[in-house]
Amino acid sequence: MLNKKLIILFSILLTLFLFSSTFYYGSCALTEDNQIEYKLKLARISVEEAFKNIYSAEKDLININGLIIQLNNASTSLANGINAYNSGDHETAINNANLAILIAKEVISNLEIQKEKDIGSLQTTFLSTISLTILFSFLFILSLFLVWKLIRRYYEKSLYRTKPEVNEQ
Amino acid sequence: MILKDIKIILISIGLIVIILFASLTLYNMIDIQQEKKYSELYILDTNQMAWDYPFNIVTNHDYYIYLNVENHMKSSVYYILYVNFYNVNYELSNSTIAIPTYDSFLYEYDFVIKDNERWQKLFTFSITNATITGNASYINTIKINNVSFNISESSLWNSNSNTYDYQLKFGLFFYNSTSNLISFTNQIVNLALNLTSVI
Repeated sequence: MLNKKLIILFSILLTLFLFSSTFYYGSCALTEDNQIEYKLKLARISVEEAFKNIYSAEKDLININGLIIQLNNASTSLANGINAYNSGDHETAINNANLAILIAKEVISNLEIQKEKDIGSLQTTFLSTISLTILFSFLFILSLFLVWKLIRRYYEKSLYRTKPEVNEQ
Repeated sequence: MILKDIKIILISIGLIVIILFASLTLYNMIDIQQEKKYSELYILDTNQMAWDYPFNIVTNHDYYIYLNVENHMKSSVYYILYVNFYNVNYELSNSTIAIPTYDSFLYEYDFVIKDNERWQKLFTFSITNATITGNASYINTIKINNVSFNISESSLWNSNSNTYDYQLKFGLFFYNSTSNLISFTNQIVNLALNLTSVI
């Protein structure tokens, strides 16, 4: 009788253990999937953020050529990660997501360096453009004024040279 | 009287030059704003032509096409090119689902292109697991750029064209940095395929 009870108890415990382990491993798998999806989303946000910075820097006439190549490395890693995840290769997915995040961060920090470099030269270009415009405008007006002066002088001289004629009538 | 005329002529020349420069600058500004902004997506065969596309396909054989995207958006654009594989019958009954959306795709490319520049990539695909039974064909695995994807697509024998019709669909999207959303460029390209035999 006691043995029968023990067997029933053991069976119940075994069933519970099996259920809990299945649930545990299932939840682990779910957590792993969620983690990769989270990482990939984070990678997408990082790459998009890097692009946003580059986009506004381009509007400010910052030289972004080298940074676009770098950003393309990040976006390719992101795409490789998503493709690997869709094909079931979780390890490649997470490695590529991490790589994309790393490169995107590098892009943002390199952009700051590039901005500092370019802002100085942009200010110089702007100032030289302004000063050249003022100089050329002044020269243009001066040349017109000088031409006007020359013509006036020539006209006045020719006026003095003319002999007065008496009208006999 | 003559002196006055010359004065007027000189002032006129000055004004004409000023107006000319101002109008040139304005024209450039207005021209930039009015020019049409667009993106282009097209596929080419391996000879960079638009006529020798793969159509009749067999299993375990690599097929190649060139994917091309051109940016005419007047600034750098972050593009996402989604790739999907469908049978034609499926698309006919679910025309809205057949257009690739952000979360329904098989393969994707992410890249940034500067204004007036072109992106080109060699696209490789092969059907690695398929069966033909009776008047139906089933494709279970497709390999895109050496990455395998499990799919479940089937196509009935089309007696009019004598084909098992499938298609690769390419949809071009872009990241809109002002709205923070991924938007469709209205550029979509289909590559029609016919599964001829299973090796």
